[in-house]
Amino acid sequence: MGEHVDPYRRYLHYPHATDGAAKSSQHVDLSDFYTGAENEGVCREVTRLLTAFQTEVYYGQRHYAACPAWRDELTVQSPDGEPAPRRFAIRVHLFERRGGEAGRYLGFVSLRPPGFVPRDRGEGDSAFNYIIDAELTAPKHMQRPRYHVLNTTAASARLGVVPFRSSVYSCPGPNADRGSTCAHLAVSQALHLIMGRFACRPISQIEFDWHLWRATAAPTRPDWVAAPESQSIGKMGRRGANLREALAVVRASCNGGGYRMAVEPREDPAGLSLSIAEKNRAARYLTDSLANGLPVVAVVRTDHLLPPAKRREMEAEVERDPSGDTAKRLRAPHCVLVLGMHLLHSGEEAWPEYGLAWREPGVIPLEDEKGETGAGESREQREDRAELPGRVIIHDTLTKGPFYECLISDFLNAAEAAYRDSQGLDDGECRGVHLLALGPRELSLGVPELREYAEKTLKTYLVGLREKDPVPSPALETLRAYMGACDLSPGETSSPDQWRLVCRFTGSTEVDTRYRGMRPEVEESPTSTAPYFWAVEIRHPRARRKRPANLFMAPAELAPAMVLVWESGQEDADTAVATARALEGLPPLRILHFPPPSPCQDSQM
Amino acid sequence: MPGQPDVSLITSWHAGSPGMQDHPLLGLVQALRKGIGVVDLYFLSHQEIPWYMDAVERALARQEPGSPVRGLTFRDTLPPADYGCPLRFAAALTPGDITLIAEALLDLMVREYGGRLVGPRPRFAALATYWPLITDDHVQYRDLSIKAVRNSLLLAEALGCRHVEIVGGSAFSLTDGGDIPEGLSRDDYARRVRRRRILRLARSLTRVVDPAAEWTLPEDAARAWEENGTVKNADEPEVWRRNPPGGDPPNEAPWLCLEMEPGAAFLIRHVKDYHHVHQWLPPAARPRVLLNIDLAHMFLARTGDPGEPPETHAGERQLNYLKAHELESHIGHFHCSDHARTHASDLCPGSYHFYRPDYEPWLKLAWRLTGGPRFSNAVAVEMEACSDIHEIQRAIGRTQSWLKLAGEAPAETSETSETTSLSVKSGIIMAVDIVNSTSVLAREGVNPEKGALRIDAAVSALCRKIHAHRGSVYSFTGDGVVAFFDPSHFTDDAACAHAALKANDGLFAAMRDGLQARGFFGDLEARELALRTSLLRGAVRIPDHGHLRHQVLGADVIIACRLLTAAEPPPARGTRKPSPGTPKQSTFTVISHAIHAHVRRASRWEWNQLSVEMLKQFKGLNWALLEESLTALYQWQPHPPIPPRPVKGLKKVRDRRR
Repeated sequence: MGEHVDPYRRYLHYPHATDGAAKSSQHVDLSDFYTGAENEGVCREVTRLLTAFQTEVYYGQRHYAACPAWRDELTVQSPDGEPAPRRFAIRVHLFERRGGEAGRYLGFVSLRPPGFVPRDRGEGDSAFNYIIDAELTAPKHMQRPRYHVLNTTAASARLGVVPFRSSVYSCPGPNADRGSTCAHLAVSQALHLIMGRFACRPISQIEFDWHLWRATAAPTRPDWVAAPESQSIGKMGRRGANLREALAVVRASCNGGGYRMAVEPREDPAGLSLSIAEKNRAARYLTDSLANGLPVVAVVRTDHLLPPAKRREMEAEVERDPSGDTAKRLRAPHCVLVLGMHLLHSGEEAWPEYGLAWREPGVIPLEDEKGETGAGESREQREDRAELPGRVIIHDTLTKGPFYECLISDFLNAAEAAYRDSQGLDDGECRGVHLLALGPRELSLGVPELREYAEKTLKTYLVGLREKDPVPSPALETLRAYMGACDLSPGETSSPDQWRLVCRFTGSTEVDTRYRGMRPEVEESPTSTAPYFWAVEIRHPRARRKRPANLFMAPAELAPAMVLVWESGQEDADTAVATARALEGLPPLRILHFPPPSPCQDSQM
Repeated sequence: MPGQPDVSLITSWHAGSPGMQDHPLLGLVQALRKGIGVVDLYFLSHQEIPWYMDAVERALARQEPGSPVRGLTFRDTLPPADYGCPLRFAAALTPGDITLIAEALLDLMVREYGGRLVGPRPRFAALATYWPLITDDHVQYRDLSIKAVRNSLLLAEALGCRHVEIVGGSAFSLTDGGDIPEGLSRDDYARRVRRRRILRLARSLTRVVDPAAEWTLPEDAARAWEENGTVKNADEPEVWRRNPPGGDPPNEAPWLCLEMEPGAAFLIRHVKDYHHVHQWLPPAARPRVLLNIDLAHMFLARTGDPGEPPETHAGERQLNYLKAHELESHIGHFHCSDHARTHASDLCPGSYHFYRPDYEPWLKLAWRLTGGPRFSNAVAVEMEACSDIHEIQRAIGRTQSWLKLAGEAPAETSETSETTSLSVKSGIIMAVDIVNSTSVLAREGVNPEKGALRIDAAVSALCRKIHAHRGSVYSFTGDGVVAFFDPSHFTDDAACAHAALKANDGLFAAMRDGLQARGFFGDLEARELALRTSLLRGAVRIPDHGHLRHQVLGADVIIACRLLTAAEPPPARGTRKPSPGTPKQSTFTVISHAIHAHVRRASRWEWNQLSVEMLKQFKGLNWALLEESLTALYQWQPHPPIPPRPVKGLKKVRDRRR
């Protein structure tokens, strides 16, 4: 590391906090903590951890350090053999290897102390026996434009490390591969990402199992699910957790909240697989959540995320294994964290019917020269579809490791496959794609319901516009003015599908500042003390503003037709009320619009 | 009297990373070398075990030839599992081992201390431990933990500290939950599991403090607690039964201080859990179990129960509970650090929480408790596995400055500052003067620099010797010192008096060795140098801040210094001169009657009482004071050779070894 302005240079101090980098030979392994084969094994794990970084590792400062996950394991789990394992984990700072010296700072990793013997598993290709968790900055290539990766400075700071933008990657504990491990890790990683913003509290595996056990009690809460029989905490952990239970745990103990997103195969008469439109909808939900900084937990089938060669190898192993354990493991659904996406830019990334029809430079058009897709549909330009992800970035704690990038199509197929055998009886999660977005405690209204409500509200207005003698309404006036200003014909605005809905998850003050210049439809609208709101901007994909002469116009001045605002916590997808509302819709708490007929005036958007 | 607590450092701040192994006890030694003189010993880390073993074995090797334990080693007699694991090792120690370990630790402390020798002595303020299996499902691990806690108490006592911090263990095990009765909600069952373990912790603690007896609790009382949370009212008759009856152990220091840990995994999550443990202790154990306030944990203290208020003002809620249930007097010790919202690394106070409103009320409480009978008078900075001494110093500095702020000390010139900034203590004042220092150490022909080095070597050796016996040197008088032995650092006044006299006995030898080590002790020094000392029981004031910070003040200090004149017998009394052939007398001492009352039986020396008439021959004494309040005694026997010191518990060591 030649740059003396890099603040992470201090983590090269070694072995003393006052010493500069020692001999480079000490930075190639961890032999001062681990010896022999153990050292080699730990180094192999670290190398495997950083697969997505495509770099060699330069080990920086290392020392014993506190680690919450390790502390809880030690406290609760009765020891095997030595009753007092070492209390502290080993923290090792990692750098890219640039020639013979340290390059970019990658973060740090917490390792189980020497002599740790995993109980239930041997060392396999996908197993991390020593790594507890890692605070990793995104790989270099993910810092390019079009990548959107969630990270935080809070996670490293709470451990006393100079804050850097990192995403926590956690590894299974000693009881790895058992039921709730992946759900816990995905949830915990998500909570790490948002704890600085929403004051959530990450949770250890032990605590997760404890709350999972409690959350599956007789349903004293509407969102709790009864377990089929009395089970110990350990057994409950081995049984696993579905997304609904994971959300219940988050609400019960992590000062967090969230919402589930389900897309079921309703267009398929057999109810087996999702249609393209339904997959698009799932991708939209995913995008809306990630774009608002809300990490998403998904359940996927393990074998769908394996590369072809590995998959063939595993299938061969399945055939060789008469016990069926390999097949069970391979086909078992497990939770992953979706923490980022790369915007679609190639037709290879998505299925042909994805709906991309974007002709601007820099984006590879998916359709043919005639503006038609392979299916032969006539196309419209839909900028909102161009922002859908072509790839997603996941933390897969069981198989793929951190920052694994896969095509959105593969990902949705894997997610769909996870529920292919579901009967939807025990847990209420039917076939389809199921996602869980996590956010602040006050968040319960999900994107699916939000979009549903917004579309229903918009539909009401559009019907009003078509009426010959509509009831006078500021909303109708606003829409009419917007369509006039944007040269939109009635034919291309008649259905909510033709409009673009932009969902923004905002704080209470952000609603006012972001939409300054807009005013509520009803001046005395009900006040709310809720800390978070969903704002849905009603825009049209083909909007083209008339510019007076050659005046400059900033992007922020492209104001939406109107903004519909809901409280983020005024809905709970798991209640009976919510079911009813799904049919009837829920009117927005506030409707903001510009005073017609000058939609761009005074806008601070 | 309320006062400013000391700021201590828990030695677990450095977990002994490889490559930094200057010393196995790196957390302790590095802190001492940096001049951090008040520490909580963390007992025990893996990498420290070899040092503890060596300490015992070195002492055993020094035993007299023929001693049954001479040369015995742990490695010869204990299975490797016992000295590879802190819990097993701590549980396997005998009282004799612990005495030897304590001596080695105190010796190490004196040797390695790099701070000012004039000022408060380096000392152990408390012990910090981690034996969470004290509530484990496995009886074997529980028993080991109970022994380890018991030995931790013994070590604390031997080190001169009165508080041992312990943890409560886990709230549940993974096997819990399988036996849930039909119809019982899981929340209710979870409460039962916790109550069951609270009772288990109470039983374990009872076994720690009263190992000679078996305490039983009627089943219906235990069941009522477990099922309904029914706590015994303080006014009700005692439900515990002791077998054999009577014979309660003494309820005195060292105390166990139970610490809370935030999170559902831990048994003691907040003050209320501690309160329940305390309510369920039998009478023998109740006074011995106190509360350790970890400030960072207070800010995170939650029950995790459904419906609990949001995670704000948790610290305030804990404080309110303490006040409402009159538990402030239960506080034995403080830990200070900071956590983010999660129970992650220890960080410097102020990282996530602020002086106001978070720390201030607690630090004010620490002020109020200081000087109380069961308080350690210290706030320990806890930065576990931080490994960076500069960060440690920052945490200590901030804690000290916040403590000062909490004391709201007014301007030093004001009238009230004299009362609020001074702490008054009663103890043993020791004045030491080097006889012939001017003519021998800073003699003619020696340049001033070399003379100063000689004085430095002599006085430093005197200070270290006093430190070794738990005295603090508070004033440097040019060629001597004034020291103070605080009884609160000892089990009782007699122990304090013995320690003072023991220190006095070794002063000249220590000075001689210190000079010899630097080549300053020749024939002239051997012939001419001597010490005059006086030991007086009295009251002193030691300001904890201000311009005279850490100086000893008071009339009794002046008297002790004047008594030095009496330490050298009047020339007229020829009888005091030793006969030819006897070793030269090197230390002339005057002690007060109060001290003599404690040491007369144990002392190897003869003491002669000086009459007032004799005292009047010495200049500078305030006769009026002496005649009324002091009977001075004068010793003039030469130093006999010091025999090897017998070690208590050696028989047990021998038996165990065999």
